[in-house]
Amino acid sequence: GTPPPSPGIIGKYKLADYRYGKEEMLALNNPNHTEPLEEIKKFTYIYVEKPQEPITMQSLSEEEQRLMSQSVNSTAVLRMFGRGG
Amino acid sequence: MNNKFDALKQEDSGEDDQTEQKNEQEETDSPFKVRPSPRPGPGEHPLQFNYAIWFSRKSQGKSSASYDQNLKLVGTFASVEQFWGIYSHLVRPSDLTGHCDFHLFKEGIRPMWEDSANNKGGKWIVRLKKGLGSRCWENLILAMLGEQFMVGEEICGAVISIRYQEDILALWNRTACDQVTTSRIRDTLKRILNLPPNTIMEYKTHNDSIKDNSSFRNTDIFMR
Repeated sequence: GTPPPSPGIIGKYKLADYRYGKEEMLALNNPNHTEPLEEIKKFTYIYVEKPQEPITMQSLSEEEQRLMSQSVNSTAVLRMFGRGG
Repeated sequence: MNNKFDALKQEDSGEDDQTEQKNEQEETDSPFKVRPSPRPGPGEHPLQFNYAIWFSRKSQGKSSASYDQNLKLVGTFASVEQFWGIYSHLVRPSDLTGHCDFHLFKEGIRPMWEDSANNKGGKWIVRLKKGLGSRCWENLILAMLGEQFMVGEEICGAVISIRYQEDILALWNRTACDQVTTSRIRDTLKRILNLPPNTIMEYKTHNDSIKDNSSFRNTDIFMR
């Protein structure tokens, strides 16, 4: 696993006043109140009419599970650093 | 020449007049014009900073189009609710084809190496297999907006770059030489993205990017 947060860093930086954990961010998503802003409708290439739920709400697909269990890195970067591919 | 933006403008000025005129007409759409700052609506949950979402797509025909010409400001937001209002109406990055990028930066910081907030900075890079980009991007931006990195004002913004054989995540910070901070960002990134221990992460200073005019080549490697 990853080591715990570097000690002392909180002394270095003041904590933000407005902090939201992932669950809090998700809880504040109300699909009924996501009337799209007019300004984004003109970006037809990336605009989606119907609001989509966060991807996090869907469990990992089989394909994602397979990828996460191996190296997540692209073949290009693995090859560059001599890890086959 | 102050920056690449100016340099490219000068290079372009030699082109046919039609292009010039078109650019002037599009001036109202210029991504760099000042727009009024968003504010949290009544009862909404303010974010620590206002943010702007940008989109860029490499133009197919005219290869000389500069980086800033392809960069469009999609929208700005000040609260968690306003973020969802934009994000849930944007296509998933992995569903895009071609050479595209979403950029999510603090309002006032242009997603360019030369911006005064970025010019002493650098970025962590994770180059992902196709199929993982959209979920990792969501995890990254939720943590960034929610101030989960706990490095004060060091974070500038996040980028997902859709490329032919990979999706590339990048998280930009202000001070490339501050190793305590960059290590903390790296460790937090690993946790929030749930990256396996063998994941290769790269760091590149924007100064080096300016020198070799490349975002993802000649990086410094970090593996556990």
